[in-house]
Amino acid sequence: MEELISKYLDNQLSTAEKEDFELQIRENPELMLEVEQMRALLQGLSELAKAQNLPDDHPHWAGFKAFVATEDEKFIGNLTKVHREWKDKESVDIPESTPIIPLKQDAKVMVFPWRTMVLAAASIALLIFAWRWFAQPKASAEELFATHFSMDYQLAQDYLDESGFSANAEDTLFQQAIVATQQERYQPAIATLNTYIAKVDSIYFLRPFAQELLAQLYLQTQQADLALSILNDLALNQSFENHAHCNWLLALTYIQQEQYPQAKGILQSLQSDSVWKVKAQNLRRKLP
Amino acid sequence: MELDPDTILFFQGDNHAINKFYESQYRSSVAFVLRNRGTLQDAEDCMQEAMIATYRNGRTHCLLSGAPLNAYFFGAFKKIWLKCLRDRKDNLELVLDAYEQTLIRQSPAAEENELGALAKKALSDLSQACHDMITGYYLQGAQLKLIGEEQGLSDQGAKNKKAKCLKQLKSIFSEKLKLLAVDSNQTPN
Repeated sequence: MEELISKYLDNQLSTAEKEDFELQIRENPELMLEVEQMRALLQGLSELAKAQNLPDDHPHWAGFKAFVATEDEKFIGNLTKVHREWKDKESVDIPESTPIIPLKQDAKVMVFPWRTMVLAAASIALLIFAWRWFAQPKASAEELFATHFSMDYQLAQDYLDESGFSANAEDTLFQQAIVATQQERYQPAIATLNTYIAKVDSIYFLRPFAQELLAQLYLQTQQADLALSILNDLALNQSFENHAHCNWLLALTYIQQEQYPQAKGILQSLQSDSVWKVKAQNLRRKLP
Repeated sequence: MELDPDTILFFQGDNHAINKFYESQYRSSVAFVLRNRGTLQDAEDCMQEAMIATYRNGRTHCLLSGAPLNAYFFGAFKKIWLKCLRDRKDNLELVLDAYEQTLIRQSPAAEENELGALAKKALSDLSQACHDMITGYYLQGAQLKLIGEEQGLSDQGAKNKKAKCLKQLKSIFSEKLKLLAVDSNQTPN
């Protein structure tokens, strides 16, 4: 059976043999498990081979790559067909889960003179409030950023202290970067963090913490574009413990770049986080 | 772990299974996009993209770790729609209904190059000879004959050894995959 799995994943079966084997896979969960485990392993090895700059068309990988490409083509072909069929349907119902906005009831006509008076008074109060609001000098992007940005890597430091660098030999690099940051030697800290990030596994739990510190260093050294590309990923990574902090940093980055609508959107979403609610609300109010 | 036969068929690219899954996700996907500042056309485009992302990246999670196909799909769909909003410089606050929140909780946190990282760890647990054999052949692209010669093996001996080492590696790798499944199930999203 192992040989058959190997031939299947190496694209060496004829169409009829392949169809027959796929039928067996569907009917035999253990076989399916074996095939998928081997496929996942080959996928993982091919990622490593790519990382080691082995050419994509190397003969050792030709069979597996052809297999994946054929499967991919088959899936996309069938998906396109399905998609087209759906588009050709005459009409599409409005899905039930779309919120329905209730119609306003007909307003009753009321002509009491005091109502006009109250409205006029309210309008005047509103005008005074608006005048006071807009007359207040708004803080500049630079000021807002400087007031609200501060480096925070306490949690990473706690984890490093806890592990005593036993979890990963490379962690000493991370510690060195933190020390350099504390000494305000930002460029060496950036270089060390980049080395650390390249060395550790992509799934290692301290890696996103290192990326977070790197982004903060980029912000500190006026390299907002580099910070933005890191923070965009971290802010979406809900499994990362500090992703809310990354959203905060992302909002500050947008403020620094004077992209206020984006900053407002992020701060608004942060308001659903109990820890960040007040901070996000206050900063959002200060934005032009 | 019992798998839904339709999930297996979906990952085999079966036309009927794709159609069935597309149909089951269509209305809720359109509702999600319309509720979150998009149009019907946006929803259909995003759906295409999410279906492909699920097919390409979700098989390990859905077939080996037991993640529900619809949860993986919705996780991918939400991520693609967020990216689309970000490209449009729209704000990023999404309105999720109760069902969608449940899906997000069930959706595994997929990492980039996750399988590569696992394979690397599995390789480090192999015996030195097997490590050299697999690394030489698959990662460095060396000829099997030459690797065999270095280890004092005949051509056939090298072939047998490679098959044996690959089997050993698969067994270690599968154990690590199971741990990944446990982690995914424990990670709140």
